[in-house]
Amino acid sequence: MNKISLDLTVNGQVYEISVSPTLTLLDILRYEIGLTGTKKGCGTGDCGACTVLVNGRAANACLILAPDAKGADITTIEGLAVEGELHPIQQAFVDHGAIQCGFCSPGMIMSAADLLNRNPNPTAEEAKNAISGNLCRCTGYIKIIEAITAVNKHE
Amino acid sequence: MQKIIEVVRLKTFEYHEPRTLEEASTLLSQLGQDAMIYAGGTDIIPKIRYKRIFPAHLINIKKIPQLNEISCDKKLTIGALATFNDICFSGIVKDKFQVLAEVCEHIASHQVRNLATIGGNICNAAPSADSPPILMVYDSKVEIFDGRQTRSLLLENFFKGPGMTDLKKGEILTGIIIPEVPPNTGHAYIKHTIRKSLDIAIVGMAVSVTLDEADKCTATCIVVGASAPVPLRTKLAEKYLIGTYLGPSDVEAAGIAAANEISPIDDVRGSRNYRCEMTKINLKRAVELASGRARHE
Ligand code: FES
Ligand code: FES
Repeated sequence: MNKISLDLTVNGQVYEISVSPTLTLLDILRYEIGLTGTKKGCGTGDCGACTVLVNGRAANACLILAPDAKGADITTIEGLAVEGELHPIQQAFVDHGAIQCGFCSPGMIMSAADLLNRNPNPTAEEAKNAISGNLCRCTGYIKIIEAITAVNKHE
Repeated sequence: MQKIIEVVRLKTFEYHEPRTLEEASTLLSQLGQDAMIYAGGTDIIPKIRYKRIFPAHLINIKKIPQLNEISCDKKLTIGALATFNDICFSGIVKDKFQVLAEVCEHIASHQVRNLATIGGNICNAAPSADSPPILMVYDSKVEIFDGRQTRSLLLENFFKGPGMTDLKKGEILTGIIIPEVPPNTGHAYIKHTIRKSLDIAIVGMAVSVTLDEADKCTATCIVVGASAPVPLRTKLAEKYLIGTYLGPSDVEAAGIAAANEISPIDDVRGSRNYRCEMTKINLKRAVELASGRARHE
């Protein structure tokens, strides 16, 4: 199998790697780079656990083949906190009890971060739409929606 | 560590990255049936993972410039690689082809819409796909490049069966052309599903209606998705509406005709009978919506 070499930026750091083109961005993040915050649920685009920002837009890392990550600027859950200080959306999830087992949380939070970039004050309906591709099996969605809509309210 | 990577790796294929359409088309003809075009990847990767397809070669066409552009000079041109979010966030589409924008905005999920392309949605030729019915009632054509020249074809004539299209060896779908919407014309698409997102239509119903000054229907197009081997234009049903004022009995007759024209299957999402009933009901709802919009034009 021919390997391809690619460079990509993850959370501000440039990585040069050589991988099989049959790997997905999710595999690269977790197994090549070692950032395991991004979760693998289904591997087929259904659960949203693997959501990352690719050039600023939310996308399922499990649906992106390695060569398409070439030159991309990726933000994962590990890249949200600045100097140990939680990103406001992460803090809101904690404050609103929007996390139980936490498996869906990285993907949920990346979807929410993408929404807040586009729309700093979303309504509950807009929040629901934004996370409609993220499945949570324990918290239920109410607290998650509360957290997302509250982020920019208490400023 | 090595072992884990083996488990997650997709079945091996050769990867190609042509820079021009000509190159892509040559590759596609040379490599034959074992080669597939890779665009958004949102359909192909799950299918490889579920071992439903085993392509020996993937030809990534995303490095070919300009294939994702959206432009409008009366007619709208959408490049095959435009993603659903490219389309639903496009000011021109929102403004002049509003129902298309709305349909694109509700396909799959936000993350998937950032990846999935309209050309891929068409070429997969899933009978249940959401974009073909609405594109068909907008009278869309597709442009197809064979390595030398481009031909165009009404989208209606593009589908040949589940997963089957009119594409011949070496041909690539490059774009979709939607003509200017005639005056006093309204459109509607009703997707009948259990879940609003990430769900496949049980029945998809797209309708366009054109009215004259007296609100008489002068033209209509009705396309039913997920209810036949292809997204089906129900021409008999249309005849029941043309020349009428879309009264309850006209619309009901059209619904019955449409239910007779389709040939739905029983599956996990719904039975054949249920699909026929929902076709009648959603035809009524869609005609109501579309004709209301035609009046407000
Ligand atoms: S792991 Fe990517 S969507 Fe489930
Ligand atoms: S918190 Fe457990 S899956 Fe969402």
